[in-house]
Amino acid sequence: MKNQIKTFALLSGLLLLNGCTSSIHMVSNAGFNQTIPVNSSYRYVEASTKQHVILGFAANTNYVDEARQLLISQCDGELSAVSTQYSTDHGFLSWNNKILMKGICI
Amino acid sequence: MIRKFCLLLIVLTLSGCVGLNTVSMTQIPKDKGQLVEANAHDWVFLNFTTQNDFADKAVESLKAQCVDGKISGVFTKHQTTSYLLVFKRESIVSGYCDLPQGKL
Amino acid sequence: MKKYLLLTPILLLSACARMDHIQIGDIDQSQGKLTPISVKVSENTVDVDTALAVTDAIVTNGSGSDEVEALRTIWALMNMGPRTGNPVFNDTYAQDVLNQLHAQCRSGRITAIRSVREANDYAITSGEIIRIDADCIM
Repeated sequence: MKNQIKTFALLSGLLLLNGCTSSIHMVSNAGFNQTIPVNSSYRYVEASTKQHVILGFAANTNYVDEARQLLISQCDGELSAVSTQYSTDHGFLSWNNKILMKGICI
Repeated sequence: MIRKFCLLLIVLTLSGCVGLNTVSMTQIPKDKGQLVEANAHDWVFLNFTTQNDFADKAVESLKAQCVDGKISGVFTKHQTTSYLLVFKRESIVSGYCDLPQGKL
Repeated sequence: MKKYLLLTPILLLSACARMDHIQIGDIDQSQGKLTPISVKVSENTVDVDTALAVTDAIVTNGSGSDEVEALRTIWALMNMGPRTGNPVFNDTYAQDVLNQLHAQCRSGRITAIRSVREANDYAITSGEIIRIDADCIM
């Protein structure tokens, strides 16, 4: 009985933590080499896309190109200080690959 | 016999799965210019390889499409497609080519 | 049991550094004086699989336990996917890196950016780190 309770308690704990882990693979930064002109307005823009992968079946990496297009579409001016983060959210027999792109639109 | 067949089927089905290794992008100018793209890849058997020269070919190909110009907004994607015992390593690069006025 | 208790502080005090990814950007030393700036964000995490295995080994004196093996399998199935280092429970720790980098450089002109994905490994725990070192052009 004790063993069963112990197993149940541990199992409950693990189930609660199901799919809670993530892993950031890389963050890259570029385009910081110019000053933002004093009288110009600027704003932070951000784009995020993800790809759901089940058991490793993934036919393409188009979600990355979509993030790029989404970011570019938010800025008619110059897009500088571009930061790209690639991470994965783990889950049950599947995971979500995520791209987060940020930049400054001048 | 059936087990072996099923195993082979699973292995072959799993072939061709693509995974992203790294991605990066540089700043994009206001006047974007023409989009140029280049792609380079190599094949490695069981991940045994002695060089990574394929990546340089992508850069050379991109430069050839924008001679005397400036390439900005360089978007680099490095991915690996897994097949049965071989892997295809790919470098996909694109950017915006800004050519001087006389070259347009 | 005693030897495990003696071993634990040694394992916890010793940390291995690990570098997973590095990217170096343009270095422009022609525009003015450079001041080094740095942003470092990290998230502590536990390697649950190793922790379960070690706990199992200690508690059962090396003989193993079916329940723990089952839990390890369930954990592996429920947290599947590509990983760099140990998985973390909160992946938002790197979202403000851009803002923090800009805040340290008033001129907004930053060069020689080194983006590093690294970690400090301590036995069953680790600190997953993203460090951005750069130079601010004054």
